[in-house]
Amino acid sequence: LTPVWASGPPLSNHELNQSRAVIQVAGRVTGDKGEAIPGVSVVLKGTTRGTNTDADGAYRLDVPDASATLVFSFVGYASQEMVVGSRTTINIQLAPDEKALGEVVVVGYSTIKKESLTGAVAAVKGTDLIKRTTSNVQQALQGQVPGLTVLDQGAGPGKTNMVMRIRGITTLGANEPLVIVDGIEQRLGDINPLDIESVSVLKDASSTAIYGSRAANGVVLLTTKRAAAGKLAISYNGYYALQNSNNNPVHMELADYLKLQQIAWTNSTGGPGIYTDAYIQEYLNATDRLKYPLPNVWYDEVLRTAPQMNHSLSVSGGTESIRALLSVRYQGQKGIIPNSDSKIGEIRLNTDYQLSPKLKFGTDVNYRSNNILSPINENDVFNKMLQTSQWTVPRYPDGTYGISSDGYNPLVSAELAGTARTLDEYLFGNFKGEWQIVKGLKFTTQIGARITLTTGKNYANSYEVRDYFNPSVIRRNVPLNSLTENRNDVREYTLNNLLNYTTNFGDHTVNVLAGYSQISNRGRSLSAYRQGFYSNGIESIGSGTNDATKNNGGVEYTWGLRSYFGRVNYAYQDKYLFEANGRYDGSSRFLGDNRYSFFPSVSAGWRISEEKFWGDLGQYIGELKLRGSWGKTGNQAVDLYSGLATLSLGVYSFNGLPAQTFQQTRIANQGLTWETTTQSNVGIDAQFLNNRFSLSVDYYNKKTDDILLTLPVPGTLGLLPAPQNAGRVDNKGWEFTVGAHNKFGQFGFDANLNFTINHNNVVNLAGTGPYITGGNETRYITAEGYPINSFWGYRTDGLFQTPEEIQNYPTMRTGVMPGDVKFLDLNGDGKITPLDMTYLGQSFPIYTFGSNLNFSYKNFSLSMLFQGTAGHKARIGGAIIEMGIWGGFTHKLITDNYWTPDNPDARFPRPLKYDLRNFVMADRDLMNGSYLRLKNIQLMYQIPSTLTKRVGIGRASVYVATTNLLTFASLNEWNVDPETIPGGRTEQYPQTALSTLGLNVQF
Amino acid sequence: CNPDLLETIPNDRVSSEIFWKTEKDATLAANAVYTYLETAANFTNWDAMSDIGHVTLMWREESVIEKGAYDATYGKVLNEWNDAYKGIQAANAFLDNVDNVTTSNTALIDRLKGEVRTLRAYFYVKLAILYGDVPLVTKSMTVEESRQITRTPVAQIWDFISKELTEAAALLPTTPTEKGRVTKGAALAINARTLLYAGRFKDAAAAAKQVMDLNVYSLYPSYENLFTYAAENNAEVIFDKQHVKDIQSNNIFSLTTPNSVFPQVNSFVPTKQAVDAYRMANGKEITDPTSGFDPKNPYANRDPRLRYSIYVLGSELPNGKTYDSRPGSGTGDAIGNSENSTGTGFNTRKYLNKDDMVQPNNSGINLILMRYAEVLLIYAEAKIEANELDPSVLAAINQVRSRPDVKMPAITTLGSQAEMRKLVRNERQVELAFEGLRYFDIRRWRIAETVVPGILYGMTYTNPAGQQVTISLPAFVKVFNKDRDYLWPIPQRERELNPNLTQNPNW
Repeated sequence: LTPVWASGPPLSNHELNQSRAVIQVAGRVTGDKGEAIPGVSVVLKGTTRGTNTDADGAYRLDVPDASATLVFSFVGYASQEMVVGSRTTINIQLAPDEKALGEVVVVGYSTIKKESLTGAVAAVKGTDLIKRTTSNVQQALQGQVPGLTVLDQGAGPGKTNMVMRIRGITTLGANEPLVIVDGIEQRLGDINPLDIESVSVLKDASSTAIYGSRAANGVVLLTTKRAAAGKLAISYNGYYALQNSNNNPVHMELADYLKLQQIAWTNSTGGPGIYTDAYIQEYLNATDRLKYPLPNVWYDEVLRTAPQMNHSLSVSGGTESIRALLSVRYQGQKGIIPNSDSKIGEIRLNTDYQLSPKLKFGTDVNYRSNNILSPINENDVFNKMLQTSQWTVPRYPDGTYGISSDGYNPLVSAELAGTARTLDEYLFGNFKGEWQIVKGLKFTTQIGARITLTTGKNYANSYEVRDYFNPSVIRRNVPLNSLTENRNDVREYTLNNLLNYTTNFGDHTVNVLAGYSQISNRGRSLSAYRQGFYSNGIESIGSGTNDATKNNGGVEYTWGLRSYFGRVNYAYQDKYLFEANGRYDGSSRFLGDNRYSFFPSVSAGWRISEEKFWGDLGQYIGELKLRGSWGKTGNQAVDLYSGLATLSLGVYSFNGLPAQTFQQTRIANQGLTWETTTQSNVGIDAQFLNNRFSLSVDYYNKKTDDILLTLPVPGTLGLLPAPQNAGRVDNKGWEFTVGAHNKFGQFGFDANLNFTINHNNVVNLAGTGPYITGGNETRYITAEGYPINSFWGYRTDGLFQTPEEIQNYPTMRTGVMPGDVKFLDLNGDGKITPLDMTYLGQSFPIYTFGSNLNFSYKNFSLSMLFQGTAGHKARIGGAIIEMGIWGGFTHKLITDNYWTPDNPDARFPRPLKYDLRNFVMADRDLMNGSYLRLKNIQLMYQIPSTLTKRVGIGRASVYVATTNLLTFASLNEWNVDPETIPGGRTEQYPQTALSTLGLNVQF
Repeated sequence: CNPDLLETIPNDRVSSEIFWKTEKDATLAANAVYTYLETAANFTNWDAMSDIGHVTLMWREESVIEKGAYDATYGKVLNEWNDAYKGIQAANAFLDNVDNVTTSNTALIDRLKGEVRTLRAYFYVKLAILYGDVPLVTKSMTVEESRQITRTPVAQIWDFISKELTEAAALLPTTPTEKGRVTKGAALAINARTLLYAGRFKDAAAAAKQVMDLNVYSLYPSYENLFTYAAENNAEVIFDKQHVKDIQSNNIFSLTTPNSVFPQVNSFVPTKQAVDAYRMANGKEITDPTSGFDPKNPYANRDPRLRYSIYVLGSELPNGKTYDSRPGSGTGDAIGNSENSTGTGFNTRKYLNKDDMVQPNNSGINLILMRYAEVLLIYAEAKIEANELDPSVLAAINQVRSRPDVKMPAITTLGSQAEMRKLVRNERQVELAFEGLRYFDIRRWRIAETVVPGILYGMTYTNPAGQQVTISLPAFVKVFNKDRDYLWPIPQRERELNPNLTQNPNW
């Protein structure tokens, strides 16, 4: 017999002689649908000897004896081990990795078996995140996790405007959860979604307390993929997508609009409208729309279909002693407005070294660059689509722009005004060492550095637009160009040292973790301004006018965090589980005695299904666990140096010369300390009918005390307020997760539903407040007894119908007429004043829900993601609802639905030119913010391996997908995206809908 | 471990621990109080809300105030309040701490105290005339104190201001160490204005007389050039907000310039009432049949101050072009051309300097807050109201009218108190138009209820059909509620934070 070594160096004769009794084993490795899996690593356990399966999934390997064990592993599948025994043919079916991942959950500074978990942790697999075509991780997490509310408020290419809240709003300031990627705090936006192996969302205090002072808003833990030993696995993912604006408001028809304007002018002046009947007829009958332009055509003219593409390539593999995963990605995204795009390039190298059974190292390097282009004032483009550009030709046949009588044109804002270019560069490096000191005792150290560099270049063009019909008239003139450049760099270094001890004796399992961590952060920025460049193409700062108009500025700051933490886990018979955590945190943001604080937590679990008495119930309910936890976490999110009384520099002048000024402008609060969130949680996890169904329910009660609050102070004080610790906010809620998976022959079904109820309530504002922000367009209140940032305004009772009715009614203004809104005098003082304002509803959702549905049949699979929120209101401000009062966008919905003597039952009040009296913040303009959305639907086809192997490809699949295909929302009638800012003017880059064609290939 | 990790000391700001040591600190802190003098926007917007002005952009809060449609929640109502108290706090912080400074130069400290007390009094004048009774804060407060303080009756506020200014005047030099610093004359002149506003006419006349008797102020020979760079710091200027291009600049040019010169920012425009107040060059009112007023050529042969103060049809613009605001004229100033074009057919002219055309948001022109002509008119008005009609009254008024490039005929006969009152009020309206005083004058004279309400009118011109047309602004009706609007409401936000603050009547 001549041994055949499929890989590795030829062995010496001596070695050959040593292995006398050689058994040749062969077989085929397939997936759960019977398809061949090429490239599977087949390794003789305890050695580096091994081979990989070929394109048919076949392998052949010689083993020394019958007691040898083969290890089959492949990325995305659960590894399997098989003792050779007397067999020479071993066929293996590998199961996808899902179960394996589900069993181990990443928690703070560690991992834990899912059944041993006592806290409220939701885990998401990386594969679930990439089903939907997304531009960033936040989008990918939407709808996936109970207790996590993600609202996508749009934003241009390369930018995000997302709201992420875990278990509601805990504080009045920063509410963003802490994000830890591979043990180091990082930004979600800096991570390639395809690099993610798993995500854990830590929600209750027992799971978050180990992150102490930064954990009050919950923690998101990301783990990136690492290589498994074996032949190099190469995979490619690519897609091409088309983006479209989700919602385009529809403008009123020309004739209806002119009629509305006539009535509005007449109502305001008491005289005739501004147009003569002849002029209206002339306008309506005109065919030359260059001379008689149609009103507001911007949603058609400015917005466009924009492509987006993504190419990702990953290579991974290695030996047991050295493994590496390299991934590279390019994403190009055009914007739905002119002059808007982003190019993201990133590369990640995760490597692992096993020096000896006791010593392991790993280093990760991640570089990402994001190049963003947008119009210099992106929001202005959307603003001008709604306001002050009502009547003009977007572009004349000769390519020149029209200018409205107010002087604008959104295309001019987008194409002529100039550009903002931003280059975001992110460099992350991480070294990790692990030393198994003795059995059960492990020391881990980790040093991470992250460097964020941002360079911005905002160039405002000089330009002029002349009148098309009379070119000697300049309709818009910006004589001076200018450039603002800025450079920001932030460097952050983290050190984590962990000591972990695990031991078993009898029925007892004990795990102890002790750790030390420190973070130091330093930021700097510089900015420079010059104007008067020779021409618009000259864009180097040194080429601007070198006179007193040049300007510069800069900031520098540092902060630090030092922490000691520990955890003890104890399990008896894997049935009774206990855990205690503690963290002692010190922050440079606080002074003296307030610098350090302690955050403890305890939790316990009882696996009822492990009890003897469970007995036969086990066939129905295989797993049943009760969990409970209590703990405290903190929030240190205050501005730096808030505790110090500092003086600010200013300037005045005497006799034509500058004079320095110094003054304290802000109150100093030296007693500032952490805000503390105390959270209790009880939960239940169950698996039914052989794991075909699963259920998790959690109830939580979160109280946030000593909220870091910049309480407004009376103006008579003459100083700006400082953050203080004041008051308490409660969040109470329920979370439900239901899962089902089943297979009927070739039909597979997998569903996951999550549902969250969160009630927010401001309990106490330390004797201060209420705090009212905003104004007549949208007004919010934060007051005791109401949810944070509730809507605040007048209640109304329909419209006045007769002059008699008005006489007997208090009014806000003189000159109230039939058709005006009837505001309610709630305090009964016979006047409508701000004292009559009241609570009108909450602005943040009570209910958040998401559902993943997956169907498979033969080679096809269909997945759908539904997502939504409910229980909150929304108020749209600005032109879109204001009925043409100023002469901006006027919604089609208003057509013939406003009050006139002939139309007394109309929904909207009488139109009034230049008068907002009927649009002050009131209940009638608040809309139901709830929505249910088919966020994503994807159909995938797995190309049969009989086809792919002919071209040398292991596995390949193609898919089509579309996002935001279907939305149920009452805001639909206004064509406003329900995820938009609840008090917004819809004047920002909107959320888009994507249609995607994609390809995944594995070699 | 590095113990400094958590001891981060700011290196981008000055901590108060190291301040209040040297006389330089005293100067720097006193300088800070000056920064709260009104901005160009605030300065121009007062008259914009009166009968002589109109805010062009109708969504602006000043425009809503014109229409009487504002309430206690309006931002401007809150911002004026807050800005005044910020200035007052900067002054209080100085006065609370300045004695900690170690120096032998007590003269300097005394002078700075005089400057700061004058500025604080100046901020209180604005508060008192806008809101009536207001909290009187003379020392830095704690947050708790600020949540409880009550309103002091306005008479006591006037007492306080006048006493402060009298005492400050004693600490101040007649000629400033640096131009732009508060002088004795400034303190006395602000006192004269205060006493006039308070209706204490005898005292007001005396205070004005004190300024006149200093013999350091005189009228600048050219009214037309008074608001140009060439005239900065001239002998007529008693108190001003100082500016320097590029460093401490203002945007008065872009705020008020006609749309054809610089588009998109224009803030307010004069009304027909403003223009009609200017008499004929012969001194007669335009309504007087013997005045020689030609309705077909309404802006000819008028008091020269009309064209020095207002762009009317045919005026020459800073860019050398001719002002033509007729609808359809094809210029950027044509009524209806854009939302920033004049709605009345007029634009203001004061403080518009050719030099600022290149950088319209970067003007260095000083904004005059008190000039000698006003002192003369305060003297005259106070004497008239006190019914002390004597030749000194005529002399004061005639001095203003006889400026070399104005040369309006002298008033030669002392009329009745009512006649003289009408005369001095007209003189004040015309001489001081668009200098931020008219809004307060019509309130203290209690004439706002008559002169403000109604449809707004603009220029008169001959249309292409040969008809004489007077512009009226569509859809804009000014409202003034005599039972409510003579005082602004106490800001709603302020009352939410301090329940001890009462509200003004009918708000």
